[in-house]
Amino acid sequence: MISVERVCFWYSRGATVLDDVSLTISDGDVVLLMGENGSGKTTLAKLLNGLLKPKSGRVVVDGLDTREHSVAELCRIVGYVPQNPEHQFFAENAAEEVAFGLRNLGLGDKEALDEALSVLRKFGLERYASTPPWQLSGGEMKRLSIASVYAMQPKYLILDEPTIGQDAKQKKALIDLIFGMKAEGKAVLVITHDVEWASELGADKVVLLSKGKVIAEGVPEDIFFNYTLLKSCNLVPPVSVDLYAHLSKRGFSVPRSLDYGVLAESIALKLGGSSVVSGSI
Amino acid sequence: MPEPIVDIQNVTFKYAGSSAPAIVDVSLQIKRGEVVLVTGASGSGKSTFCRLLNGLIPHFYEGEFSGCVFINGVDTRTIPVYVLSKDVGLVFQNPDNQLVSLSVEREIAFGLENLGLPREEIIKRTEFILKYFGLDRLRDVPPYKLSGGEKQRTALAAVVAMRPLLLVLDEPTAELDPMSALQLALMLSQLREMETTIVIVEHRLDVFTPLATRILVFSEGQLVRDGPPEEVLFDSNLSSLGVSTPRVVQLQLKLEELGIKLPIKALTVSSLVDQLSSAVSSLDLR
Amino acid sequence: MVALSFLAAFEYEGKLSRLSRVDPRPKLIWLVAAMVLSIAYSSLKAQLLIAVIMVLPVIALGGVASVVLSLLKSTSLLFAMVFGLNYVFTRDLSFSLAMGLRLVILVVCFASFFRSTHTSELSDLMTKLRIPFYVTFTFTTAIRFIPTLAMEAQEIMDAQASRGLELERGSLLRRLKNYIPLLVPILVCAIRRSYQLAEALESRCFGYTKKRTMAYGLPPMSKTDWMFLAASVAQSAAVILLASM
Repeated sequence: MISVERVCFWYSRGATVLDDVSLTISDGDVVLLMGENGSGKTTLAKLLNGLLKPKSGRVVVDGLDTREHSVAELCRIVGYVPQNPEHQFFAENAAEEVAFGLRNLGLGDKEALDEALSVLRKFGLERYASTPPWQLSGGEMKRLSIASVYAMQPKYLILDEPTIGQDAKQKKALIDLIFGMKAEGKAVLVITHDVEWASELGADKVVLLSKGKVIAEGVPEDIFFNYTLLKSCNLVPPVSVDLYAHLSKRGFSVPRSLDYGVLAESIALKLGGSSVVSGSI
Repeated sequence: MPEPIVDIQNVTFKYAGSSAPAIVDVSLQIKRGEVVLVTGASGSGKSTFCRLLNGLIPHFYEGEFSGCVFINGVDTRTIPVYVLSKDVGLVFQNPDNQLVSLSVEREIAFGLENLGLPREEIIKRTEFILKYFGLDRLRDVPPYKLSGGEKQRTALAAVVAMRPLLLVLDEPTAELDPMSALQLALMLSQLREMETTIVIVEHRLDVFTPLATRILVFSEGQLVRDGPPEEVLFDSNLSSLGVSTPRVVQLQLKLEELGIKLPIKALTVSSLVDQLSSAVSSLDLR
Repeated sequence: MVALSFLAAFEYEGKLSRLSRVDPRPKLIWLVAAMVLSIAYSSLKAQLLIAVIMVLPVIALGGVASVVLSLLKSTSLLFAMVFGLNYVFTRDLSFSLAMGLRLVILVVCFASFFRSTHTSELSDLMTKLRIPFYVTFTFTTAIRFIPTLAMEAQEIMDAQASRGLELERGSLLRRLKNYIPLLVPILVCAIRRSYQLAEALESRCFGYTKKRTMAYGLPPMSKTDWMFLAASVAQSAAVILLASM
C-alpha cells in the first residue's frame, strides 16, 4: 500500500503546490488522479517514487518512508511512466530500451535482453525489437514507454497523462493494458485530464485535486456525476453526465450511468420503441 | 462563381525514405467561409494534408510529389513558403515550438514585422489582436511562463494578426487539457463569424463538430469521406477508420439500433436534449 | 548546485531596482568603461579604485547586493585559483590580489548589467547598434528557450532516474556512460524542436522581405539616463586621475 500522509510540497517559498494532501493506494487498485492544469498531479506522482521528497508529512511505500530511500531503490516498487515517451528514449532499439531498466536493477546483459524480449512480446511489440524507438508510431511509442517501466516489475505503476496525442483505438487499447496489469495484481495510478476517457476506464477510485488540495475522493459515478464539483475544477464533464444533468432538468429521467449503451436503452424504453418519433416536432 | 481558396488536384506525396505514400491521389476544393474538420486515425495523412496547404510540402519536406495544389489560384510549387504564408496561416500542434519571442506582445507583432508592414500598422493590429484574444493582461509574459492553452491562444493570435485568407490548425489541442480545447474552439467559432476559411485537423470531434460545415476523413493516405457532419458522422463503420465519433452521435446510432430515430440529427448535447424532451412531451400528449 | 546559482545571478530580476529603469545604453558604456579600465591597469590600487568608485555605487543603485554576495560565494573558488596561480608564479602578493580582484570586478559588472536589463531591451539595444537581425534573433531565441530547455532537461532526468539511472555511482567510465541516457533524449528533443521552429518561422513569413520592420525600439534617453552616463564618464576620469598619482 502507498500511503500519502498530510504531505505539503513547494518548489519555492510562497508557492505551495501541494497542501496537506493525504491519500492511499491499495494493492491492485486502479486509481484515477484528476484535476486541472497546475493542480499538483505530476508533483504528487513524483513524490511517490522519491523523485521529490515531501517538505512536511510523509509518503510510505510498502512500509518504506520515501525520505529515507533513493529513487533507485524505490523505482523497484513504484514505476513512473512520464507524459512524453521521448524523454526516455535513447537506446538503439526497443529491446535495449526495455533492457535499460532491467540492467539498472542489476540483471546481467544477456538476462536483461532476454527478459526485455519477453516483455516486448507481452506488449505486442516484439517485431520492433531491433527497431530504433523513434521509428515507432505515437501509440506504439507509448506502449514501449510503459513496457520499459513495467519490465522492472514494480508493484505500483503511475501513468502520467497516457492519453495525450492518442486516437480512439489507441485509447481503448490503453484501457485493456491497464486492466491487464490489474489482473496481475499491480496497482495503477492514472493521471489524466481526459474525463471522457476516464469515465470509460472503470477505475476503483477517483481522487480530485484542486489547487494542491484533495477536494474529493470516491467511486467514479459519485465524482463524475457531481457536475458542480467538476466545473469548479475546470474539468469538462463526460457527455453522459451532461446528458443526465440536462435531461433531468427537463423532467426526462435517465439512470445515472456512464455507459452509453445503458443510456440508450433507457431512452429507447421511455420513447416506447416506436420506429420514427413523430415528425410533428 | 468565385474561385475556390483551395484547389487540390490528384496529389500524391511520399516522404523521402518512406516506403508508402502519406497521401494518395487526393482531390478536393475548399471555398471561402467553409470550416473544414479533418480527421482520421494516426498516420492517416492528416498532418501531411495540412502541410500541402501552405507549401511546406513540397518545399520544406523532401519526397516525391505529384499533382498540384492551388491556393487562391496560385500553384504552391511556384512560390516559397514564406510568401504563401501571407495567405495561409498554420498553427502547429506543439505549443512551445512555434513561439519565438520574449513576450506575447512581441510574438503577435513578429509575423507583421516579417512582412515589413509600417510600424503604426503593426502597433495598431497588435493592440487589437491582444484585446480580441483576451491576451492583454499577458502581453509582457514570456512564453515559458504561459500555460499550454495560453501558448496555443498566443500562437493562434499571432497567425490571425497576419490576416490570412485561410487558417489551418494541425491538431492544436492534442497536448492541451479538455477545458483549454473548449476555449480554443470558442475562439475559432468567433473567427468563423468573421468569414475566415478554417481547416482544422483534430481527434476531438466532440468539441469541434459543432463548428464544422464539412468533415473530411482520411484513411491510409486516402480521402475516404467528404461531406457535411450529419452525413459523414452518422455512420457506424466510422470507428473502424480510427475516428472517434462524437458521443452525441454514438448515442443516436445506438438509439437507431433500438428503433428510435430522431427527426433532426443532433450534433450537440443541447440539440439532442431538446429533441428528446419534446419527444417525451409529445408522447405524453397522445 | 553552485553552477546554477552562478547563472541565476545573471537572470533579469524584474522592474524592481532603480538600475533596471536606466536605459541600457549608458549601462553598456559603464560596463565597457569598467571592463577596459580593469584590464588596462594591473595595480592593486587601480583595481581598488575601480571597485570603490565605479562598481560599488552601481551595486547600491541596483539593490543587487544580496545577489552579489551569493555571487561572490560562487566566484570565491575562481578568485582563489587566480590569486593562487598568480602568487605561485610571481610571488607578488599585491599583484596576485589585483588579478583576483579584477576577476571579481568583471563578474560583478557583467552580472549587474544583465540582471538589470531585460532581454528585450538587450535585443532593442543590439538593433540600435545596427547588429544584423539574424544575429540578434539568434540571441533572443536562444534566451527564450533557456528556461524551456532547462525544464525539459529536468523532465528527462526524472524519467531516467525513475528507471533506475544513478549518476553518482560507479567508476569514472561508468559515470560518463550514464550520461548517455540523458544526452540522447536532450539532443533528440532539441533537434525536433529546431525542425518545428523552422516550420513555424517559415509559416510566419520569416524571410519575406529584407526590409523587416522593427516595431519595437528603445525610447529616447531621459534625464536620469544622461546623468548616469555623465556619472560613468566622471567616475572613469576619476579612476584614471587617481591611478596615475
